Amino acid sequence: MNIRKSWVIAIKDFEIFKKKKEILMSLFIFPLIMGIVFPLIILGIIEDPNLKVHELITAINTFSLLYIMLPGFIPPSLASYSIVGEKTEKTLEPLLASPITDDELLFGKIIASFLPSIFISYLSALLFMLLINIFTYDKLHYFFFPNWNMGVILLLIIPFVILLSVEVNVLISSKISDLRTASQLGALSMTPFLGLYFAFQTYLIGLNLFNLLVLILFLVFLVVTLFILTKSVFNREKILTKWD
Amino acid sequence: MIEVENLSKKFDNMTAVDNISFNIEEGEVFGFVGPNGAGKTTTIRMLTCLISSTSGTAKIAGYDINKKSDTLKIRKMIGLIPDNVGLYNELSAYKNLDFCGKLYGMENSKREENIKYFLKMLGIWDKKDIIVGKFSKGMKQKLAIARALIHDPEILFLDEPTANLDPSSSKTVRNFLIDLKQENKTIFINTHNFAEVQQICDKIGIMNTKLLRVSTQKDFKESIWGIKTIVQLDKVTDSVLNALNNVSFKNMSVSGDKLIFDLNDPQKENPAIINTIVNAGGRILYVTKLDPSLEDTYLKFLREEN
Repeated sequence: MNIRKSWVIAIKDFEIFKKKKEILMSLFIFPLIMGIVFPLIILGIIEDPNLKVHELITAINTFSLLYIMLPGFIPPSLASYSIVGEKTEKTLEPLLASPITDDELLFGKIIASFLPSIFISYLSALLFMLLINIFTYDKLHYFFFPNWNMGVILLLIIPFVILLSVEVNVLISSKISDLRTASQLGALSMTPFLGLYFAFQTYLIGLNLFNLLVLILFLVFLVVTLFILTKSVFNREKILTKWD
Repeated sequence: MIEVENLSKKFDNMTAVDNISFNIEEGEVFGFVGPNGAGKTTTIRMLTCLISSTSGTAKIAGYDINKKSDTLKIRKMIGLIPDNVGLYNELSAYKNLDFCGKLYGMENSKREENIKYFLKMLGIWDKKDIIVGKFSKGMKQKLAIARALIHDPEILFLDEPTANLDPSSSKTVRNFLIDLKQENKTIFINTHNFAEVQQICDKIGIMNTKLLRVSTQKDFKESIWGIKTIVQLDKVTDSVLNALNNVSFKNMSVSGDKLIFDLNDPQKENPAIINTIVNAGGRILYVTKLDPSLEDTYLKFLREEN
């Protein structure tokens, strides 16, 4: 596999995403809500003079844990464009006629959706942490972030959640011929992470090192399996002929 | 350069291409004509390794389209212009070509040189930074040609290159193809445009799921119409007709004051016919060779086939 070719495809997709308002909107709105609205809710409850410190910490942790699940909802708009978009805009045929392998094409499409999603997620998390620190300093007398939990979520969980979301969506995109359906199915595919969120939130799974290690190994397994699956179901001929 | 042998393609129970065979030599321009749904696009897609064949073989410059290890080599040496241009509307003309050149692994300097060369040659260099979405159909088609040529392919496949273009844009594209022909590129064109075929193609293939005929234009016309000479006289007289009874040719018909001769060997028969008419007192106004258009020939051929 020639990574350079995958990178060329990804760069081209970045250029296109920048020019598509509907993609930009869907890319920024959700993370901005997370990064600004959540801290504003904290700001609202902090006004309550009866609020105890541990209650405030629980509230912040609840929002922090949403970062396990919510970044998974960023890639669908990008990833669903990957194959369906090329097909509906009639650019797929010359692309497939060029000397690129399925691996190079799919990997390029994954990079194209992964990098903006992770960038936006980190931007949102940065905004979230910054505003929380500003809003809660007077009450807590220390900066709540950075902390170990958020570090694990940001550096270990979010990349995998996004990668899985991207792969599921590229897979859906190479099987579904309609952009809207692909995008909706892609968003639906993230519901297992809702379960993960509640498992952490209700302490069904504790955020300890062993559990995290198991979770990360499981996510790695899923990422690799999904790439192999995506590659095996990617059928150039079917995409070109059945979607006409 | 292109050798096709008993190539077929079935989609479920429908046969799109049925056992076709033909050869295209290096530097030859091959026009593939036929009604809609005749299997022309499917044939191009098989030859460009976009879809697999159901049976049969085809070799592109010696590489087998059915061999997975050969498909990347084939794709490297061909350029494709699909029936819809397939350009990225959000990118500029330059970036569209740049993207394509990078996919073919071209060196930076060669890529830049080729982009400049083709955009200038097609008269769109001054619009290189404008996004393609703002281009007219003709400009998009020109850009699609440039994209297909950016990596200096040996073989060019064009699917309806002048469909939906205005006459002026069609002419530009056609002239460009003539230039390419002079550069000894092998060109395979799917088209409904007979003026294009007549002007550019060395050889034609008539397709209707099966390949009905492959020949040069001249052979195709002669096989359908025969070799005919028309002699327009001032007046057709009995003495002229009687004198012609002694001359050897395949057939003759009279239409008003025109004599239409069906010939075997025009170089020998024409002088004899003319001499006989003149000696019999006939007054010849003009002599022409019957040269029907390729379109008329094709339509007559289809009528006869049906």
